[in-house]
Amino acid sequence: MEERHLAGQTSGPALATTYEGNDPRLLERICPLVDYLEISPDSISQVTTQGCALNPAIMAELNSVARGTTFLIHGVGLSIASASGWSQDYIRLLDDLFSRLPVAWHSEHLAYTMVEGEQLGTMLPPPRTQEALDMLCERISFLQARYKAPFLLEKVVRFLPEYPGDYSEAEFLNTLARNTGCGLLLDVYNLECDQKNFAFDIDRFLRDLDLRHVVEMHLAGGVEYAGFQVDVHSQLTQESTLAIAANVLARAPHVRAVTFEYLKEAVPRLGHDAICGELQRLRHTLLSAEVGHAHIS
Amino acid sequence: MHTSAKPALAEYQKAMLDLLKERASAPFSDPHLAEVVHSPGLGLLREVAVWWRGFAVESACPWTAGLLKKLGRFDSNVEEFYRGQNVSPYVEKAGEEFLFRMSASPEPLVAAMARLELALMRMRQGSSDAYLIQWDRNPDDVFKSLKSTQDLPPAEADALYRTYVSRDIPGLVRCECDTMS
Repeated sequence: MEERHLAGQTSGPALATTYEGNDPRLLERICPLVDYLEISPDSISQVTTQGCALNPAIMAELNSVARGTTFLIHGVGLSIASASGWSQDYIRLLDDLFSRLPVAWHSEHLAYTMVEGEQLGTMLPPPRTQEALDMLCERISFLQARYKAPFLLEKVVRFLPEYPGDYSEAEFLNTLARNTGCGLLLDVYNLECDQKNFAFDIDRFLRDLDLRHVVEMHLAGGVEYAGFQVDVHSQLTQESTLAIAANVLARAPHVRAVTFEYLKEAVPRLGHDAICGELQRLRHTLLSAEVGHAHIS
Repeated sequence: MHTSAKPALAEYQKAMLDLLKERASAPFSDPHLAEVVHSPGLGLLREVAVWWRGFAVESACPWTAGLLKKLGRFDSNVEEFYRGQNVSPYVEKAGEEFLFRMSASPEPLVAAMARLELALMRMRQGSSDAYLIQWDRNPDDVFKSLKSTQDLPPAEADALYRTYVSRDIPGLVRCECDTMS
C-alpha cells in the first residue's frame, strides 16, 4: 500500500505522534502537523460479547478526520515475551487493523504483560537469556510472515534489579534484529529513565547498539516519583532528551520517524495548544534538513 | 556470560507474577528473585499497577468510585481488586469486573451502587434484561451527596427503596419506596 504523508515530508525522518481516540478536535489539529499517526490497538479497542474488537467510534474518527493518514501501530498488549503464550486477542486486532488502515510498520514493547493468561498490570522486560531470545525470534518471524509491514521492537524501562542474563541489552537487541530482520524502536526517554534509576550508561549502550537497525525513535517526557524516573508520558520533551535524540539521529542512518508520545490521560493537563506546539518544535529543532546536516557534520 | 543455574523462563515469569500480586515472599532460593523482593522498584511497580487500575475504575464506574472515595475505601478496594484477580487491560471490562466484585460487598450501600452501575453498563452493552436493586436509604440523596460535599445519608431502618432498571422503563430507571410502619 502506498504511504501518504500529510505534511509532505520528503526526506529524512518523518514526524509522528500518538492518538488514542475520543478526541476528534485534537485529531483535527495534529493531523496537519505530522506525517504519521501512531495508534495502539489496545487503546482503540473494546471488549464485546464476541471478544476484543476495534472500537467502531474511534475507527470512524480515524477514517474521517484522519483520512489520508498513514498509521504506525504500536502495541502494548501482545506480551511477546510471555513464555506461557502471547495474546491471541492482540493478533486478531492486528489482523483487523491491517485490513482496514494503511500501516507503514508496527511495533511492540520487548516485554511481557501477562503470565499464564493473567495480566500483570504492568510490563516487564524478559531476562536476556538464550531461551528468551529463541522464543522471541520465533514469534517475530511469525509476525513478519503474517504481515507485510516491518516489525519493530522497543526496549522498555526497567525498575527491578537486572536479571543475570546471557546478553547485554545492546547485544540482545542486535541479535534479535540480526537474526530476524526486525527493526528497533528506540525510546530516548526510556534510556534516560534507566540512566537515572540504575546509572545505565547511555553512551556505551549507543556505542554497542547497531544503530542501523533503528527505524523509529520515541520522544516523551515524564516525572520523578518515589525516587524513580518513571515512563509515564505526561510531559513535553526535555532538552536533555532532545540532545540524545539528535545524537542518535546523526548516527542512525535508517531512522524513518520520530514520534512524540503522550498519554491520553495527560491531554487535559498538557492542552491541545501545547501538544501542537511541541510537534512544531520537534519538526523545527530536530527534523529540519539544516539541523540534520549540522549533526552529521 | 552468566553460567549459574537459572529458573526456566516460564518459571521465572510465574514467580514475577506472584511477587507483583504479593502471593509470594522471601526467602527465594534464586538470588535474583530474593533481590527483587527487597527492591524499591517492586513496590513502585505494584503502586503504578494499582494506580492504573484505579484510573480504569474511575473512568468506567464513576459513581461507585465516587462512593468508595467518600467512604475512604477506594484505594484499598482497588488494591485488593488488582491483587485478587486477573484484571482486564481494557478499561470498560476492568470496570465491569470491579463492579461485579463490589456488588458482593458486605456493605449494603456499596453493593447497591455497584449493582446499579453494573445494570446501567449492561444496558449500554445492549442487554434486554431487567434489574432490581434494593437500597437501605434514598438513592436520590446518595447521588446528591456524591455530587456535593454533603455527608452520605444514613440508612433508614423503616424504609426500603427499590430501583428498577430496564429498557421498558422510560429513562431506563425507576425508583420506589416501601415504608415499614
